[in-house]
Amino acid sequence: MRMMVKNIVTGAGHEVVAEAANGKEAVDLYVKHQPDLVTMDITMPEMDGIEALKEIRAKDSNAKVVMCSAMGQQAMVVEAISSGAKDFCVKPFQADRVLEAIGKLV
Amino acid sequence: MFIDETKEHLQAWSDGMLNLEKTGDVSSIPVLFRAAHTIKGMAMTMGFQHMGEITHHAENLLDGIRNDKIQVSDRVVEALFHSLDALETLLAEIEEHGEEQTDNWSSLLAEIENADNDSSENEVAVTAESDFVHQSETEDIVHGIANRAMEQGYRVYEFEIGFEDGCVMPLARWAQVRHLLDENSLLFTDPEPTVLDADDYNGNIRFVICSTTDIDKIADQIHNVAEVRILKLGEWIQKQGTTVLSQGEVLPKSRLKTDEYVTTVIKKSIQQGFLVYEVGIRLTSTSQLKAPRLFMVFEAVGGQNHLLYTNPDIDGIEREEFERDVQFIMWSTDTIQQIRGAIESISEIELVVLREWEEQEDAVVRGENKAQNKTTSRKTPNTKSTNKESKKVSTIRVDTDKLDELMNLFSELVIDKTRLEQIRTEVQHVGLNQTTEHMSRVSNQLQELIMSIRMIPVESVFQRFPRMVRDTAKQVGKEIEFTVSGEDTELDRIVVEEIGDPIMHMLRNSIDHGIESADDRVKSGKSCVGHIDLRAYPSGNYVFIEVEDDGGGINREKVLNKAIEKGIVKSSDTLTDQQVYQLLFASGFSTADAISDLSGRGVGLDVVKAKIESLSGKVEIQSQPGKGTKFIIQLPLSLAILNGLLVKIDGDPYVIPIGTIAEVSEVPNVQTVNGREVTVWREQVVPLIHVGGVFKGSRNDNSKLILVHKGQQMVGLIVDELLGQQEVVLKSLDRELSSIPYFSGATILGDGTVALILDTNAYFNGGEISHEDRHV
Repeated sequence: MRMMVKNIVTGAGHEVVAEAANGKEAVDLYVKHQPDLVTMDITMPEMDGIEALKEIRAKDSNAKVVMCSAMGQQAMVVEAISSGAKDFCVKPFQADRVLEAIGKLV
Repeated sequence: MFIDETKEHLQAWSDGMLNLEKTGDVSSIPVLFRAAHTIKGMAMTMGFQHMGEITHHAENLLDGIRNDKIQVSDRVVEALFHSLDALETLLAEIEEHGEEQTDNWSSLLAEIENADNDSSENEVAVTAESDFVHQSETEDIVHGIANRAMEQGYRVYEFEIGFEDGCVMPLARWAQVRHLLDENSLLFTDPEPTVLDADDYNGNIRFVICSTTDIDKIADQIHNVAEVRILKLGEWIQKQGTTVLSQGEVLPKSRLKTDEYVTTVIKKSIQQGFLVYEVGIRLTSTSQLKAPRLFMVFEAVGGQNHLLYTNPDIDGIEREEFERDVQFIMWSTDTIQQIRGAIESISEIELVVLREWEEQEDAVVRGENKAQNKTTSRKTPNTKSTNKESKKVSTIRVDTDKLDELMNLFSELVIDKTRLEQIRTEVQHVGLNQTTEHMSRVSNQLQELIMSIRMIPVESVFQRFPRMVRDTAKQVGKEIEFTVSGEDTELDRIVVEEIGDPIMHMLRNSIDHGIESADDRVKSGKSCVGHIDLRAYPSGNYVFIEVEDDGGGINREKVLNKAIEKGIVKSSDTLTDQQVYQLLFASGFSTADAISDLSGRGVGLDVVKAKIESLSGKVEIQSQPGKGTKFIIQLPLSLAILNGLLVKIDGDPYVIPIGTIAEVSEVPNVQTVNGREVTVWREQVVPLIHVGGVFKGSRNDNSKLILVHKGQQMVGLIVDELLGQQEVVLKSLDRELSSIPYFSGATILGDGTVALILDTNAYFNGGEISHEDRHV
């Protein structure tokens, strides 16, 4: 899954500065690298996407996070947006949708 | 969803009516009343005036009966039946065209009114008023809200948004839109917040906000949210003492600002000395043929070659991928006045934007909008209705497309499972053995489960028969008692849909030909009321549907004579009773002396048989002269998974459906008759076909003979080699291949190769097989 997003993103000329395997790692890596944009799954071990999102936004209120979700997780996506996610993509991904979402934010 | 629910209510209405007619029992009235009332409510909310009016009148009539003011007379019953028919007609129109088409219901309305002879003119007035109550309540609320906000110094905007077709999380998009608006600025939403908080709303959303910023800025932000389309926008203003909504332009401005290609093209056109106009048009809400209208506009302004940019693009316009607004940029030598005149002369079109683009320094800029900004009053939006009624606890509505998709994906899985099983035999691996065994078990269960989901009770198709039998019987002047049993027997839903017409035809047959006139019946000691029974029951891998009547039975002599007369059989042929009855299914056959309106035109039963066979079913007739006739339809429980015989022809694998195979044997003695190869099998002469020869190639010595039948006919297919029996998943062929008559589909074998499935029916109509050859 991360591979897929990575391919889409780098294919468009962006650089992936870090990858996290769980929510906790995500927050730590965010602080360390201060990326322009984060794409993040809702379902993750250790700490889920909503929690991680909130922590990242708490540390940086300008953080731009795009949530990746599976079908059937609409309620959680709504919560993510209320917690500050800028946009979301639904799996299975369409490359142009992902790029469109990223393009609007960077 | 409106359509589905209304259909259900109309069915309840129909059932109630039949009950009422039969028993005169007033207990059906509350059911009818409720059905009419509910339909009325839904129809009026959706803006379907005629349905609303008709149900309103019917409701009044039913109310009168309910209160003992009106007697249940024949006229009343007829009027109610006619209303039912009218509503079904309108519903079908709505289903197909999106709105009601038939307009003149005055005679029906009069009939309903006069059915009781007591109705007064007042009824009609009441109808007209109540039509608008529903719509205006919401309007009052919005008016009030708008007023209050304006008093406090805010600007009040109203938007209506919709979601693109592929959007799977509309409420998440709505959450994004809400996020853009200030906390306290959302004043009103339609549907209400409780609906929007649930998880399953996906229709349009109308909302009102108060703000101090320009509407354009807000619109731009909303435009930026993916998958959201602004359908309408406007500002509420005070005009001449009242509060009205001033509609604004909806067209996506933000797109234009950033589209460099378009600005370059505009620049070039201006530099070449042309005038460049940006035009935005909106179709009226009643416009039906959207694409043609647009093309008329393009012609009016000089033709499609004048277009520099359109939104949506030309293909999108052709596919009508827009609601009502289309924007385009064109070059021209006409003045802006002329363009305006040309466009405004086209009906059903409203000119919303008309600007001229000009060159300014090094860039191009848009001019002022010179189209008139009309202030319109609110109309009821054509939104998808929300399912506000509570769902039953134990069932959910499922999109049939999703079910098909599920079936499709599952059949892919079956292919893989078969492949794995094959690999298992090639590779000896304990873990693999256990895993594939378990997988087989699980996938079998899954298969049964999915099959069972696709299965629906035949009730859904049986339920329209009682009404039809009643009407038909009335038409031919016979009294028929019609019973239905086994309606909860389940069949694959496609089969259920398709089997309706054949059964209908058989019923008509029974009514028209089977059941004798009342006089004749009494003379032969039967009751004057004819009986027709429709039964469905499962048995083994099949479901049987029987149509039985206690009429006069089939006259064997008559049928045989007619067949001889038509040359279908020879007078010297000896045929069993069954074979004679099957003649009825021959095309062009009819023993009716006078062609009645229903059957007897000789084109019915053969089509019926073909339809049943296309569902992999069979039909049989049993009859006793003087006592009655029974049609027995046998249908398989599943469509897509097929038991087949794998054969090799010219080195390629093919599948022959087991159901069509009568016998498999060595190639016997081949004789030549009339220049064609035949063989004798069980005293019957069977033509032979080298399947390899049909495609190309030659014959070899390992060939086997496969006897396939179609009805009573037999054909022998010679194949190169038998590979075994296998369960295969039927996959359909794409358009090019499916026009070849020899193949009915394809499948992927366990080792991954594709095998075509033979349609053995194709070998019977080569035109070369005639009845002369049957007798040597």
